[in-house]
Amino acid sequence: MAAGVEVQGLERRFGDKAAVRGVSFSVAAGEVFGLLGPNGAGKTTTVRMLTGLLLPSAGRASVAGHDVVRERAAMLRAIGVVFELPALYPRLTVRENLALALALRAGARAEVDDVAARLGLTSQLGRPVGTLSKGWRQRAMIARALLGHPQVLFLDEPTSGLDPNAARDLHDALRALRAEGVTMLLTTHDMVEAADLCDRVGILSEGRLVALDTPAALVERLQGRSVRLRWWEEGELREGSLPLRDPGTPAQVGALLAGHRVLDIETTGSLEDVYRSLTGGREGSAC
Amino acid sequence: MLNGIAAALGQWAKELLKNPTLWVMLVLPAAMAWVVGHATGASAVLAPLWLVFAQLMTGLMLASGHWLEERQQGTWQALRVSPVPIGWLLAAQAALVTVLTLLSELLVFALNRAGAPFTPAVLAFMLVGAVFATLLGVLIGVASPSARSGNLLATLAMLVLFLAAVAGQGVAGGTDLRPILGWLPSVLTLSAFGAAFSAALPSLAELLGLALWLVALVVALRLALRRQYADGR
Repeated sequence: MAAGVEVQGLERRFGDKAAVRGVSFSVAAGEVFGLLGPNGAGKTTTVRMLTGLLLPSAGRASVAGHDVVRERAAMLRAIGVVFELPALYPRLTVRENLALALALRAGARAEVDDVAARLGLTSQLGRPVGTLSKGWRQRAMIARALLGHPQVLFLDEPTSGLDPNAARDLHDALRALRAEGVTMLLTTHDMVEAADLCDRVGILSEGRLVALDTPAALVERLQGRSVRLRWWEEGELREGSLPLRDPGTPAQVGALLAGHRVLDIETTGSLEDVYRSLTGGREGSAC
Repeated sequence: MLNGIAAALGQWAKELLKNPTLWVMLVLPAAMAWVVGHATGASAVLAPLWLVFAQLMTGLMLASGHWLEERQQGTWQALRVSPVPIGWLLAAQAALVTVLTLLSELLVFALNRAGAPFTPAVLAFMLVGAVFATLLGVLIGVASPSARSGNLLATLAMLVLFLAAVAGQGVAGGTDLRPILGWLPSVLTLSAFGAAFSAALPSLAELLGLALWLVALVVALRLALRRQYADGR
């Protein structure tokens, strides 16, 4: 299967500061790929280079088989982009916004209704974008990005700032797109979202790709599941973590529970734990 | 692609027409010219100056405001990832603003012509001035580092160009400011209007000056777009 996205040694410098350093990865057609990382890690800079908004300083990248620099026009015909900010005209209705975007992609007029129906947006088509909630605006953004049948969809922090219900609805919409085989590259700071939606994830830290695999494989390889306990011993609060795979762990946990006042006991080993260990525990957010 | 741009233009026109500020910018120059003209009885003398004011108020201020808003609300970024080259989209939207500026000028002329003939030369300089003011507004809107600095710069540019034209008007009264201000586009346009109103030909130097300003603005705009791609601004 042809690659949706191919990135080889991509770099971007702003003056002396390197924002992205030699990043390489590929996203297969139909795959959902998540780019994770804390503030300033280089996620958005990478996406801006892949969507033709920013010239790379070095390296190569192709999207849907088109070089992002040398074949920029062809590449732009093959992609849809959902920005973190609601990039829609607030005084125009949803239908008018979609019609404008469709006109620039030379699509058939019926496509507006089709895309709106796919995203459950039909009831909102006649409303000015400025009067919509953030959740609806985000759906309208995704609808716009899907016009013209893009081969690759880029989503920059798609659920940032949404309330839990709106985020869940949007996750459902993205799952439906995934089921349709749409190739997606999304940046997110939500580890649950990444683990839930992405086939594979790449973790960026200080401009470098420090991990790349499926969420489950990353957890298994880099963290392993464990049981974490906190207990009182000789007047001091102690803390410890025991690997779940270790045959001696159940006996050790039993001994602690029997002999001490245990405050907490929890199992660990999530994508978030991997993320924290790889990025030094810094808060993840858009960058 | 041209059909697509034409369809998109229809939506941009709706977006602009739904903006109440547009209507103020369209009507204000004609209304001010009418009030001042009736109060002073100098409509014919002041008509070229009000035409320059209409160019700056509608062309420069509307264009800069529109593109600063595009950048602030993120639609500019969305346009840059559309398959149509951004230069074409910019030209299409600029043409729309130019037409609106021309409408504002026609309104000024209709209400304040005081017997002046409407000749092809007058229309041509209305158009040239509208294109210049719009391009300057686009450049400010596209290249300013922030909305605040862009608005400040547009207001400053409008004040400088309009006051220069006011001073330029005084040139005929004996104050010779031409060596200092004569090269400014608003003064060149005013002078061209003056000639067109009296059915004379503007000087070749003035026409050349206006053409150079237009070329310089187009080149600056191209550089600004390239820089945006290279620097990510």
